[in-house]
Amino acid sequence: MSVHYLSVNQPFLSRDSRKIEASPYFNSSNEPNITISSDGFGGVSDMNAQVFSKALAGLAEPLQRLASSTPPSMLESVRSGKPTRLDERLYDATATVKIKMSNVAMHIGTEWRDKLFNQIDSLHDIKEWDEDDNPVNKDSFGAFIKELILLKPDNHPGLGLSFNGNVIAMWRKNNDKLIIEFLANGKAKWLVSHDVGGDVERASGISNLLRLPECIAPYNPERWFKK
Amino acid sequence: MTNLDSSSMQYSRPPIIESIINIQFEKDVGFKEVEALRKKFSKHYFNEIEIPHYNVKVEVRENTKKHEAKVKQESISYRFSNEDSNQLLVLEPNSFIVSQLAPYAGWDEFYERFRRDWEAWRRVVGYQKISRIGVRYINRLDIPLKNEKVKHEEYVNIYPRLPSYFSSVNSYQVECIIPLDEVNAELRLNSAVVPSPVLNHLSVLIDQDIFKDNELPQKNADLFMYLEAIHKEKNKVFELCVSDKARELFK
Repeated sequence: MSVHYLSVNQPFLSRDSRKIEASPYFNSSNEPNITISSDGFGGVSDMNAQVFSKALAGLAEPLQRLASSTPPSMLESVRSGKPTRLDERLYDATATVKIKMSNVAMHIGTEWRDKLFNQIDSLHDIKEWDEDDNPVNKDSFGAFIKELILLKPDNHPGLGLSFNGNVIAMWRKNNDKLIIEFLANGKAKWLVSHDVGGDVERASGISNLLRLPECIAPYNPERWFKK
Repeated sequence: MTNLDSSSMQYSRPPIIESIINIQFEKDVGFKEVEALRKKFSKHYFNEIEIPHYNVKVEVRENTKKHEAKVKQESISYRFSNEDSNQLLVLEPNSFIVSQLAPYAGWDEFYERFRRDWEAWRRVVGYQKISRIGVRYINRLDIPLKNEKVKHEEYVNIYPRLPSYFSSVNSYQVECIIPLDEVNAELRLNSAVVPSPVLNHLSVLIDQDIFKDNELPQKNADLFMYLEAIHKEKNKVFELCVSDKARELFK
């Protein structure tokens, strides 16, 4: 048997190639469903008639029957128009990140998941919300979840949002803090502060998600992560 | 040797990212019934979103070079979801879709919700001839990378067969349509490498859609019995598509 390797050090993981993903599962659309009328005078149907032969046209119907509809999860943000009401905007943002988390639910325990859901609900609490604030950015949240699965901390961080909706995670032990802001481009800004007899030492950096554990390793992150 | 008895397959972290039961109808349900359904299901679900369907007609007159576009709303669908956004119900004029996103708590829970909603739907709409039944399970195997490589053949049993000249594969997607004699239906089986949502992993999708569009059960009791049979069959298909090494990932 020949064994073929799948290597990740290849362009298929680049952002551009993701755009040409052929799986119907990824044909997400944020637009309302639109069908083109087949009975228009001189319209699209007439043009099609010139392009396809009768034999080919006959294939379309059975093929369409075979095709599955878009999974309901991919309809998540479909609304008739962009949500303008604050409660709708907050609901959409909350639902989007919950669906994102659902996508990796098998890597997150129920207790942890419930806690994260409560934190998101609390961050998007409409009573505390300022009109100028931005709800959580889904890409930043995606980066946060990826990092949590990688780090697997026993202690879960406190969460906040930056003005542009980036997730900010904070761990604290006595006066020592680790603060990480997850950026929408898959990078993370981190800040460590360490209290040495009243003097506070600080270190900070920006790194990609995979390198982050190594970047903060010299600062003994176990004190924040381990119970 | 793989045990294909579906009742014995209980995984603690099943790789199912979405399970769907889709019932399609010969004729569309009217606006009035859809509105009555909306009211009914608002009680069961936390949120609802309206999805309008438009018909766009573009008329181009060659002699005057003028064009005219007419947009008309043809129908409306509703998508309901629970507070965690992982239990979904989509009501379309010609279909009824129940979906469960991860975490998947098992067939019993999923099927009970389907039955509850389906019976409520039938009480409002009455008899509507079923034209297609589909059960779809989308699984994603997140395989840890070792030295940035994965031998996908060690985890899944569906992948493209290639000449040995090719030593590595960057990505693939395969689709097969297979008759399933056991349930007198067809299986549309997809497998593909997809971008992994987990760092340092490679993800492979196994998407099975079991569907039937002729000689369909029309009565509730027959439909429920048929869905149970499909459930057993889909478990068997999944077990055939993965290896023991893959099972280690989610047991």
